[in-house]
Amino acid sequence: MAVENSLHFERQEAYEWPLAVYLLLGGIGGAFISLSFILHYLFSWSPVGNYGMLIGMGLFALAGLVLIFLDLERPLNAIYSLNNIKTSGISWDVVLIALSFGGAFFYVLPFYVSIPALEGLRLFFGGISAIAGFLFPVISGGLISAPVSVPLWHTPLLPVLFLINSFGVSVSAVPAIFGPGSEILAFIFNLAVFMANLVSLGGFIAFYEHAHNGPVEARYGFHEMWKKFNFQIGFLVVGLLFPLLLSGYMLFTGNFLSWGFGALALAQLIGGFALRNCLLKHGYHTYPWPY
Amino acid sequence: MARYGMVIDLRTCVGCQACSAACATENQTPYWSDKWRTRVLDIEKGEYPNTGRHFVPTICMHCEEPACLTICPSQATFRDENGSILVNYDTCLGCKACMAACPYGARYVYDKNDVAKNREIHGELSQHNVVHIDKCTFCFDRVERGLEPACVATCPAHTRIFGDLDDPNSEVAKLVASGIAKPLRPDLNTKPKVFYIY
Repeated sequence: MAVENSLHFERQEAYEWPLAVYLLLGGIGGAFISLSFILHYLFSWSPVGNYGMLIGMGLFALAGLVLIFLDLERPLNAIYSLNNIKTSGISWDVVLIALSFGGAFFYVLPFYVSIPALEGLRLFFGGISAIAGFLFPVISGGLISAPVSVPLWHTPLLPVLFLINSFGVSVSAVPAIFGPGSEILAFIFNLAVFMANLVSLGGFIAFYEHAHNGPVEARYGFHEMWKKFNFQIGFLVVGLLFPLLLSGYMLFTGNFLSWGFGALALAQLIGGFALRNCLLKHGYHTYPWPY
Repeated sequence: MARYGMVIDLRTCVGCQACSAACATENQTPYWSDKWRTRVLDIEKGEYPNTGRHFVPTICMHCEEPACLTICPSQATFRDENGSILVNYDTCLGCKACMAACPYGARYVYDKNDVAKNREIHGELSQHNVVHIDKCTFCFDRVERGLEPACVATCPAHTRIFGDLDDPNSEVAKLVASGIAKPLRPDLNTKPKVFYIY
């Protein structure tokens, strides 16, 4: 075990809770915008098309503010964040937020002001906004998972987990805010998202525990995270198990509780933060010093 | 143009920390916050009676494929004509992505407290007047003047050897070509230009 003997674990100090909040708000914002566009365009659900888009825009704005004022050491230099669009995930995040926010703005505008020229382009703006919103949790997950320096994060499963988790919150929040629409459809969506959550989490566990080339370094951070109360209660119980049981109960008994969707959305929101925060917190650098 | 690199011979390091002190003096790094561009790790290994104590000087590897450079959103991290990886303090956002991306722990935040303290100590001669992410520069200003980096010049044990990797007659190029000096974690594909003999 020469490799294991020469590994030096040191917790990363670059990303703290503000980045977890940014990832969560941005992810949910993007998912909200995508979902609102789909529900409006395919099911002509106008209140969602209007206010859902606005909520998504608000979440994006909030995410941007959190990143700039709580995470960046030099907020005013945020104007330089587009200098490296070729390779930087952060630059891409900024582009996606701008595209999604801008597209949503022009999509929502005709609800309030009649601009005939805009009518023909509405689908285009909505589509751009929805695609960029969908991509945001993927790219921001990619931003975290791309570097090889923190083995726990260095897996393509991370963007998938962020994407599914973001949509999980939004799928529950839409009926909680706007009424269930079709209750059965909403529940089926919820269950599908929960199952996807479970599958990705299972993929995570399999990756770290059973892969033949399973990185010893990544397993270290994973085990540390797994042991923590915040992860066990925050993500596994509140964010995953409780919504699964509640959703399953409501679907199979037909007893649609009035507070059900609100509780689902809130639980997943808490779980989403716990997941991101725990993942960031338990990212360990593995320094390769020879002794 | 040169392609500067360094060889660190762990067999000779005595852990005197002179390199850290020289670097801190030369580059005004915030030693008061225990942040260093180069530091010497003191590693104890094994169980009695088979124990060992090892000194490992660490520094930015000035990689040829640096993870910190590709991830930087503002291109504040850049490569100079000699292949050294530098930071433009003026455009650095302080997003710390480079810190997270570096597999060798070579970067730290030169925060506002450090800037204030440095100004207090060095006054108008302060080299760090804005918050930024700081790292080793291979003392490019000294090298431009024909000097060696401060850590190399001050090392009493000739542990650090600096030179042009493209010059086949340089000591570093010979050590690397001989295979005795090896990069750490070559599997990460960052192609470090700092090599270790151990």
